[in-house]
Amino acid sequence: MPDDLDTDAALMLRVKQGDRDAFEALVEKYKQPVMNLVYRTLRDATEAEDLTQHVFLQVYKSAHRYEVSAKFSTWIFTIARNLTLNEIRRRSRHPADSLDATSAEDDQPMIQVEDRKHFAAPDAVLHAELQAKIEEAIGDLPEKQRTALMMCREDELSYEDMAKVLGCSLSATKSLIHRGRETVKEVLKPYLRTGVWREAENS
Amino acid sequence: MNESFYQELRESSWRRKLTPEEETELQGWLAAHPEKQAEWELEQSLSEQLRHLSNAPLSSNFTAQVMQALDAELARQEREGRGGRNWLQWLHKFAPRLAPVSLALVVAITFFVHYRGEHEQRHEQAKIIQNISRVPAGMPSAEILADFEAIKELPLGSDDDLLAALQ
Repeated sequence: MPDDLDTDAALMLRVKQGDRDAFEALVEKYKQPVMNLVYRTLRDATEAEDLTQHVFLQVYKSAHRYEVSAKFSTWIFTIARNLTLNEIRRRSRHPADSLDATSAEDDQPMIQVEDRKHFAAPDAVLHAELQAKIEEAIGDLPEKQRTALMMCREDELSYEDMAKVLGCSLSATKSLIHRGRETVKEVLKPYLRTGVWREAENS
Repeated sequence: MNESFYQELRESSWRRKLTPEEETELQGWLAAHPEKQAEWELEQSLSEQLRHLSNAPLSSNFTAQVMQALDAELARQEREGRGGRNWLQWLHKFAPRLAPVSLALVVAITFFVHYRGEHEQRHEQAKIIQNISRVPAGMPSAEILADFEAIKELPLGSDDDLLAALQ
């Protein structure tokens, strides 16, 4: 989006000169996309929010290094991905805070297959269940596939931008997306067969 | 439309809804390739679900929190910067007064180093002289060395020749 590129670049130029309002505007615009990306990797809302905050502080601190020729969205997603990977590395060095432990806790309230068997579940519940399944499937993907799949949702990013963030070629990026989607589809196939998907989709 | 164009449309559908023209073209292709129909429907459903995936939970005052964290960070930097500036100001203020003292200190240190160097040199010389003075004590007497030059001139031979020469 050339207009967005210009707007973001203009805002960043102002941030470079210490303009707080410009920075606030960028935070407002990118907080949700960045949080979505970080959250789906860390799978802990509190930690993801803290890290997202760090991403924006890093943007402010690194503003002097920002080149107007670079697309802001690519730049901020690269910062977000790097900080998230650092956090994962930190966790792997301290297994007490491991990702698995967190995800296991998170999974418990999300999966409610038994409820569906006993009650005539309303559409909202079916939809929530399907969402939980998708979240779970995405969460289980390898990091690069997950990041690629999540960035696919962002209108700001082209396939070329995603390739830059992931540090790989365009064809490799598309391959990551394809493989990620295939894995998620495989997990969700039972739902398709029972028709839950369609019901939820139509709700 | 061929297989590669179908792949292109598939990749486009990962990111956005197809345009009516693309959709028409695709439906035509799918009619000719019914075996791909189920795969396409699955692709479309997944894309739809991913597009409508809920946003991650985010505090309503997130932006305010970021701005607050930024203020705290800037204040910390300011304190650190002020600390550095204070030290420089102090140096700038006292440097003229410290200059004569510093000069005297440098002279004193130079003198001390020079004096110490000379002292060590004299000490080394004394040790060498002392070692030389010990050498005569271990040498034979002057009588024994009386024929030293004659013995030195003798060709190298057996000890018997040497004894005969001495007698």
